[in-house]
Amino acid sequence: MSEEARPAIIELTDVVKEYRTDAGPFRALDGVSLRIDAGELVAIVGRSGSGKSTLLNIVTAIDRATSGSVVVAGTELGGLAERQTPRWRGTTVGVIFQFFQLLPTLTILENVILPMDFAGRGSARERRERALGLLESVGLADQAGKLPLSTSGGQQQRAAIARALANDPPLLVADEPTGNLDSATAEAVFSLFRELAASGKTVVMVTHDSELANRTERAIRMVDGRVVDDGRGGSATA
Amino acid sequence: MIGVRWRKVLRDLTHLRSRTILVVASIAIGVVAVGTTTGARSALDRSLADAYRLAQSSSFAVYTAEPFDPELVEPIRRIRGVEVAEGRRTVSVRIRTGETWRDLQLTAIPDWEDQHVDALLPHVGAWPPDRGELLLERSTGTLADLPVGSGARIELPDGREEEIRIAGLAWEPGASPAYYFGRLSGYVTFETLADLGFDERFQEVRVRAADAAAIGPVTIRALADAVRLRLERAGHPVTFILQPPAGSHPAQELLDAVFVILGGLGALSLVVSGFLVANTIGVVLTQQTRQIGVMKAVGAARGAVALLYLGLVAAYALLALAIAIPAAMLLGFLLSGFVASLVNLDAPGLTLEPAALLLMLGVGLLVPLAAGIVPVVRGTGVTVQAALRYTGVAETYGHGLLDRLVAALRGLPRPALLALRNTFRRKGRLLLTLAALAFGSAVAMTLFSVRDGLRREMTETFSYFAFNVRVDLARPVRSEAAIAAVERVPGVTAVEGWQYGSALRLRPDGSESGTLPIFGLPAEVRTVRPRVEQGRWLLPDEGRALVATTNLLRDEPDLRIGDQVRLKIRGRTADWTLVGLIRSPTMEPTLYMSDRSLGEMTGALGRTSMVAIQAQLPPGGTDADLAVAARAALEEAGIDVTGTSTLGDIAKTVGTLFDTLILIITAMAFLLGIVGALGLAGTMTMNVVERSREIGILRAVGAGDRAIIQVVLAEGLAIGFLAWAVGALLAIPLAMLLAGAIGEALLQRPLPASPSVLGFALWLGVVLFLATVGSLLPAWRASRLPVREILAYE
Ligand SMILES: Nc1ncnc2c1ncn2[C@@H]1O[C@H](COP(=O)(O)OP(=O)(O)O)[C@@H](O)[C@H]1O
Ligand SMILES: [Mg+2]
Repeated sequence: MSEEARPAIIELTDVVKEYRTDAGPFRALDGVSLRIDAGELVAIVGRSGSGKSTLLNIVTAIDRATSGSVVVAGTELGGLAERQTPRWRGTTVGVIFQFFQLLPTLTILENVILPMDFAGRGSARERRERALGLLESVGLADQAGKLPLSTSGGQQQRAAIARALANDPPLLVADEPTGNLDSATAEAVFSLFRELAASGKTVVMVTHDSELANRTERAIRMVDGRVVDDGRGGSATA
Repeated sequence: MIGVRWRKVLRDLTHLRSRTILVVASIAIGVVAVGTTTGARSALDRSLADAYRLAQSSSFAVYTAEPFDPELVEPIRRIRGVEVAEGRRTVSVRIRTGETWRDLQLTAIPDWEDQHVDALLPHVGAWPPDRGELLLERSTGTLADLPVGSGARIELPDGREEEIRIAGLAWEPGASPAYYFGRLSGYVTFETLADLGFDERFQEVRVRAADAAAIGPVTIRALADAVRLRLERAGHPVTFILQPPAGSHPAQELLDAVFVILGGLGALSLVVSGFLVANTIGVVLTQQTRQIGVMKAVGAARGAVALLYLGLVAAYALLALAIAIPAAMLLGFLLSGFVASLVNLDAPGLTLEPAALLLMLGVGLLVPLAAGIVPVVRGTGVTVQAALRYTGVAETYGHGLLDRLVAALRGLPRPALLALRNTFRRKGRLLLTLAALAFGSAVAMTLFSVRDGLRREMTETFSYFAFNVRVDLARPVRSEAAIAAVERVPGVTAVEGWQYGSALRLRPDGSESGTLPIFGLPAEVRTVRPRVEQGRWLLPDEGRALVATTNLLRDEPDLRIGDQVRLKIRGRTADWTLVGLIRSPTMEPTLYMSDRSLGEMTGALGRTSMVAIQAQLPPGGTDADLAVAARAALEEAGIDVTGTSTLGDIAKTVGTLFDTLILIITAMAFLLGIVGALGLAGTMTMNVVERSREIGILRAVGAGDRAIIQVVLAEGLAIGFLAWAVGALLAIPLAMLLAGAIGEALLQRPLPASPSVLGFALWLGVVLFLATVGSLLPAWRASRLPVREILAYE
């Protein structure tokens, strides 16, 4: 497949991110340029502190770049007002966290409905049906009525993935989604990502698990805020 | 179906139960305080207005030396400006209660079914009483044990004893309650009075002026003079004219003082409540930092999240209102019933006062939302990134001056050091906690100081009375005769005959003052100890010198020491020099001059109608015994006595007012203590919960239960002590303000208030105790949590 056939969903050009710290400015991203196309499954790897989370935060408009251009799903994020970011994110990116981060007082089903609620999407009944469908697709239909803390880690993470898909965003971003899961469960979550990518979603995941990274079509390696290797995952190293 | 996000609000409400209870309680405290005080106030205002309306109060009463014929009332009614005039007869007798005799004012009422002035209303039992029966004023029950339906012995002025039946209770809504003057009041028919040996003539006429509220005291005074002239022309000299302030019930002044206290407390409780609410909501938001971050990450705008949490606050407020409104209704009912019983008003029912309801709704919704808005705006402003990184361990420390100061503290035990640093770390939280506690403490200490001030005022007032017993004589007798008779009583150290009369001041502008009681005292008086506040006391053999109580200046503000004061006494006018002002021993402005000066004016030179006795009581002896002995001695000498009053009776009169206020204040301080305990315990719990993760880390690095409890406890004590110190500083001006307001309402002059050392010390103890209890429980709970769970805690 030629690269031109697929439109870019993420385009970073010379992105720099500096944090202000007590010891002076700290450069967490140091001139990152990157292009990720729609439908790709990309792993980002690197040591702790190399800037992986910072990169994801900038892509999801959770944080802002100090300089450089960030275009995600056709939107130049630098031009997005702070007030507009939650709305934009709600419909454009699904975010998945290491610690699942489901709201403890809402059921699994209600957690999945929540983004639709905030986005003001559909009627109450449509939201519910869509959420049930998403839970079905991640194999959690039977857990819908439970509170998150009464389910297992793998189930919570799959619920979090269903939540990330709630508003049908083109892009899924996950920061160490399998970091807190045993390998069998991690495997299940990873296959879910693969299926999602196959169905046309773009999935970007940060992972420590080099075995998983090797099985993605593309792995980006970061060192000290720089991209040092951008290879075709399994094919690049195998 | 409500949106999922609102379901979260509802679940949080029920899920975070202890927090919900805390916030709701914090809000409810303020609402209950405001609702109770305004509710009680408006109910009492109504009771007072009802009583005043029922009372049909007279504008003045004119008393004559000897009884007059009932026909004389008719021409008085025809005087221009007189709306109603009714004749009555009041005689002083004594009634036996248990082992002692008490003075009883027995008033005969001509027409029980058709009263138009100073009305008496049926209360319990017979109406009207039969021949040989008596109705007691209902507030008499607070002074004497005289059960309805029983028989009682009364002693008449000539010494005869008669049996009378207590047939019921009546209510005189316009009268001061019995304890106010330490005097029992009873009511009979003229038939019964005749049976007791009095005739059916009147000795007083009670008059209400037409349009009394509008015409002002000077016009009323002129009308009273016309009535006096009419009686005197018919050959009945007038001894006294009583003209109470027009337009308000006699209990108004005391109630005003009570309302000042209640209003102040309501407002202050509201402030305390506001701080508690702000603090608790702040903690709730801090604890939800991650959840806020997650909601923002999945597309919630800041406004939507803020709205959500304001919704949560509103839900807390509604819950609080649901509890506070009935609670305030009930407490207001109890409080107004209690105060009403003190001032002989009808107890207001269990009502929901519209004014109180409106205020509670307004305050109950606005205060929490106002208190919550800062923490909500701040809490929801957190960035997703910061929220997700939030570990529950504070990330900024060591920047401020305070931090460095605290860090510089060395040589303390490690746990104390950690506790101190913890205390100062969250400065915002510390400030809120401190503000709530300090305010509560300030109010409590203010109350203690005001209470002390009232006590001191009472003692100083009593120091005026240097006699044990005062005897009122039926008619003036030669002073030497009366003194000689009493001097024979064992233990008596001083006897003095006083002159008593009333005067009007003729002001320079030609107007007249109200009736002023005037005492003519012997040179070098020993039975009273006047406290000179300006000028000096009377000198022996001084011509026309005059001393007044300072509260006279309220009505006669132009008077200065050295002024010539023109007085009209018994129809004769003369000028006196004002030589001094003394502290007022009673609420009534009073004049003093030498017995000789007064005797010359009244024509009673060398005679007395009031004997003051000072005595060294034998062991076990009482003032009442002395009164009995003095009366016996006087009667043996052929001198008729109408009544005796002991210092105890007088103390009761003056003391009850103060005691009432002190009681209310003490009850309030007690309630406040509970509120303080709740607030502190809540805050400490919050602070500990908020730092659970930190405690987990402490435990992970080997801190034992004891160490953790010590750290938390020391923090609680540090906060408690700081709150006390700030509160003490605040209490000093607050006490002056409140004492000033109470004094103005009650005594027409500011009450001095200095910090109550005992009260401050006591409150320190209370605060430290509360801090211990408030922090021990959460500390213990924290020490119970397993490390793993704490570190995973959200
Ligand atoms: N808010 C922040 N302020 C200061 N430094 C930060 C902040 N966030 C991240 N960093 C620093 O930036 C670097 C990169 O962090 P991060 O992107 O989280 O790395 P990774 O996810 O690869 O472990 C780290 O050294 C981290 O300490
Ligand atoms: Mg990271």
